[in-house]
Amino acid sequence: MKRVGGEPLIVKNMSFAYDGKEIFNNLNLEINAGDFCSIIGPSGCGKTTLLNLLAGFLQPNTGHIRMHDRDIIPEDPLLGYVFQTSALFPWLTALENAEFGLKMVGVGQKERQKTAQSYLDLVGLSEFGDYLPHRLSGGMQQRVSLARTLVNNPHLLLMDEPFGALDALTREVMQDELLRIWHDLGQTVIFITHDIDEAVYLSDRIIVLNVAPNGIFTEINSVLPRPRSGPKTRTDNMFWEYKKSLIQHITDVHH
Amino acid sequence: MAKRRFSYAWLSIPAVLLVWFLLAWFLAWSGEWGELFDRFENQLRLPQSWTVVYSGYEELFPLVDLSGSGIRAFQWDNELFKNMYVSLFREVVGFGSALILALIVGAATGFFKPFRQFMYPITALFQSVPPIAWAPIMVLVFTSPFYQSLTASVFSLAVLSVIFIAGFFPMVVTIQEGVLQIQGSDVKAARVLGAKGWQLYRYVYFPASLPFITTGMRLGFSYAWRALVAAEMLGVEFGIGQLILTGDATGKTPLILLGVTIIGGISFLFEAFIFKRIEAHYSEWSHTNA
Repeated sequence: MKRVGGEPLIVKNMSFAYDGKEIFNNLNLEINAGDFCSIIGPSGCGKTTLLNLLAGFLQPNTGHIRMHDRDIIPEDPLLGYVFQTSALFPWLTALENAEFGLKMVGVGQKERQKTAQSYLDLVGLSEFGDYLPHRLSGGMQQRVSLARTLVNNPHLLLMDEPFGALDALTREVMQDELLRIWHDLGQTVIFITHDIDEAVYLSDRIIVLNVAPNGIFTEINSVLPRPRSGPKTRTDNMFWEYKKSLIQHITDVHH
Repeated sequence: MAKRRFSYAWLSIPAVLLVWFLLAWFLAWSGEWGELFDRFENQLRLPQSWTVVYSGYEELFPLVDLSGSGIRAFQWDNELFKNMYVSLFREVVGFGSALILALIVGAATGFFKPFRQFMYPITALFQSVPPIAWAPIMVLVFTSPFYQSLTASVFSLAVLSVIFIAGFFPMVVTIQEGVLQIQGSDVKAARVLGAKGWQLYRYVYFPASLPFITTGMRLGFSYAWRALVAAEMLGVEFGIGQLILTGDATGKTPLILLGVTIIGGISFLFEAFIFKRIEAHYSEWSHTNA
């Protein structure tokens, strides 16, 4: 497990309409390799739609979304996706879930078990490989989801409000875990959230999506130093200043 | 050590036997004098349970010779076993073919909406008609000269087609439900993990619908079994349905109840030792309520 490099993700002149309703109009966006980028915005502004476009589940009507000079498709091995509620396969154990990606590319059982186990270790679930998902708590399920995604060693990690369904305390623990793992592995992360504190705490960049159609959006770069550490960062004056300016931006966007 | 909880299920069989005993006793006591009866039962109207058990013994241990020696010996090729084999054989063939076809049709209706729309009225028609209602027409169809040779044997196409109708449609509906309830998020998750083409069927669609497939099998088997026994009463050779008819025709009332007991017993064995066990395997994560 080492830092992965890679090329930027480029969204160029992208437009998308669904059911005749324009959701994105001529969107341009470039996200550098290794960046932690959050996308924030109110419900219904098209956050999840944008992520589905970035993952290739939806096709833009015009323009393109590319990484390494090729259009992104869901099956791209460089792509990882963590869903809002854990989309773990309920019939597979935690370890078997983590093995799934390797199994699809034909890695032998011994090797993929070993690799999958190392990622369960990474997310702190060494002892839970035999558990079926429904026996794990919400936080643990999301950890398995994260491990399952990381096993494929993706360069681009798309996360759709992955901690949205967790209680506040678990969410903070998971945020720190995610930062630790991201710091070690160095993927590009695009993280969708509606939680301002979460966006401020995690990101290098925050993109504020306007209500559809989102031709224009506001973007703020973070000034918070890394590494960030739980209580110290969260109570830092800079954290509050940054949060305040972000709220100001969001208010501007919506009026 | 976990304490084993008492289940009231253990009371049900004694309760049934008690009611049976009282009913048979009352019938004997209030019955017409002069008929064949003793103090406890009227064997022609409602025999007691022990008489039924004894009739089973008589079937399994036929008289060795007819000279009146009264010596009985166990024989493998006794009538009772023959009837059971034939019924089970018909069930396996009829239910098995219904299952194979239901898997194909159920998957097809689940995945393709136009085909689902097309099949809906057909399924509704067949499910609203009791399968046994098809039996007379099937007998007419399959006793035409073309099928004569087949119909004469224990492999009765008329009976098999009734079992097929009984088992096929409930299984199609359940398997279709299994396909329809597959979570879109599971499919998306598999795709971003690299699953393509047939891998999606093998590793997502199939395991996700397995609980429904097994529930469908359980339903289909019991529907087919019930229809089978009914269909066997419409003039075929052998089978438990025929055993019951023979008992009625020859005045051996215990044989009727013996047949009923065997029908229930076989069905119970399949439920308890095969289908319940398969279902228990999935009950942990699945929420099928069929």
